[in-house]
Amino acid sequence: MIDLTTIKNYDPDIYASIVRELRRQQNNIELIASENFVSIPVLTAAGTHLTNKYAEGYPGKRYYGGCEFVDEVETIAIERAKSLFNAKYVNVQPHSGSSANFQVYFALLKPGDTVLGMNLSHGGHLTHGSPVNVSGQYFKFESYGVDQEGYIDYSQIREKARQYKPKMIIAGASAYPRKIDFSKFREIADEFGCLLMVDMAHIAGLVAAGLHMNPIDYADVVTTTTHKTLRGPRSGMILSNNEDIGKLINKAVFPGTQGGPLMHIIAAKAIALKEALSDDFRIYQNRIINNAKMLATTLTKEGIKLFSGGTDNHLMLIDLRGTGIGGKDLEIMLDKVNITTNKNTIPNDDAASPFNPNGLRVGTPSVTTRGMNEEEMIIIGECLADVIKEKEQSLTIVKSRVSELVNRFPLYANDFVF
Amino acid sequence: MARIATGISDLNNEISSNEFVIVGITASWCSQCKMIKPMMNGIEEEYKEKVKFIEIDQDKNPEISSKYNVISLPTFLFFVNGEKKEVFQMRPKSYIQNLIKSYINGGKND
Repeated sequence: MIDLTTIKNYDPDIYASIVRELRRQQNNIELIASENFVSIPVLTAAGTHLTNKYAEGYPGKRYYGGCEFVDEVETIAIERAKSLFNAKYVNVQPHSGSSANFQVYFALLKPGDTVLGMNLSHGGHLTHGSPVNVSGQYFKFESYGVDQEGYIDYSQIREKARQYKPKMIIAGASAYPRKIDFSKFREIADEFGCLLMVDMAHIAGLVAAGLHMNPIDYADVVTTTTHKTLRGPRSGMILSNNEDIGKLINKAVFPGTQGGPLMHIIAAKAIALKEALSDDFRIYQNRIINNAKMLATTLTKEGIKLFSGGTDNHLMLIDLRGTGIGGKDLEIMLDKVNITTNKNTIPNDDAASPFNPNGLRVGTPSVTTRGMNEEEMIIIGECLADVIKEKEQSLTIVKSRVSELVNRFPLYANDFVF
Repeated sequence: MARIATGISDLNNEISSNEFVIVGITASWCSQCKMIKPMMNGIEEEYKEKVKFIEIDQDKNPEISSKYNVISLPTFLFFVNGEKKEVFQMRPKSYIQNLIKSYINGGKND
């Protein structure tokens, strides 16, 4: 139970917004591929008094007294992450995935070093060298992308590695619907003497369940968020099997870039990791993938084009070219029928403005958490297709189908006290 | 939908004696069925010369739901020359109009 009554009594403005956001999450079909709904134990841990405790340092080596109990929490979180991902060294203190990426750069690179990462407009991430991001300003990033079919172009990566001799290659993406072959990245990194970093944020849940190649077996260092498919609180982690790198990472996190870790969030992470170690979690991740496949099949049957033709993971990229609606307008129109998505660039679509790209990214982690299965993916696929094709005309019918679905699969139904 | 079938033999008779038949499987308690009804009535009015529209109450005819694997309401079945060609649920008016047109104009008959 999450009790909101004290907030209601003290701060009605914030209370009202919190309740409205709860209703939005309950009443919408959430298809943003990077979002999910955490369990009540995770949610409860994130709101505990552990937020009060300063614990700069690491378990057993803190700069403050009174850390014996938060030490227990952090140690459990580390051990669970090690066992889940088969990693020797884990740091659970990064505040986010972006922080984790900067901490790796700080640990292993010098300003001005050359790094090869995936192009943001091809599915990479802002922190993988976008010119507007600090990564793109402090380091010399070169980028690789996908081929015309939408698959990562490994021969291009090899060519670019040969040409630019990067200190580090980054694998990992935020809008890539296919499996990533980390072994090929390792071969290229070895050929040119580069470090390999994998940002597995999007697929961490699939990796944990053994449904995607585990990057820890190939990379020098792996970063991740703990939310998304992993279904923990908003936060980050860094993992490695290399003892020297493990030590450098610990220094880069604290005192390199962070002060006190967020112990309440580390507790929530530990609980999410326990959930991820369970048999149910494997079943859940399998459902996410099967649901994505069914959603992709339905969209294709309805005549909607998918970039790369489908999906191997939890997300897909709808190619809106030729439909008469762009990503920005479609996102707004879907908001009106309580379907939440985000517009996204289509790789190699140079004609489109980044503010109104021709793609829409959709993912199945959140709807799977609500208990929806393949039958419901057919309904969601038809709803998306109807809005794309019939536009305004479809909205009344689609909104009614959405409402029927969210009522049938309630979220946090009796978990809050108002 | 104007014509309500009284049972499975009545329905079978309609399906076999009309070239194009749309069967709406509904129930009195189904709020989505109520919502889509005026729209379906409008479509019926538009195509009544060519297509026979029939409604059937699932609760009174459970054998029909099991025969056609109906798992949610409303479900619409589109028969052409006695053969079930399409199944759809809640779809926008233009989707259903296009579906009907694709058959009555002969484009999707096989």
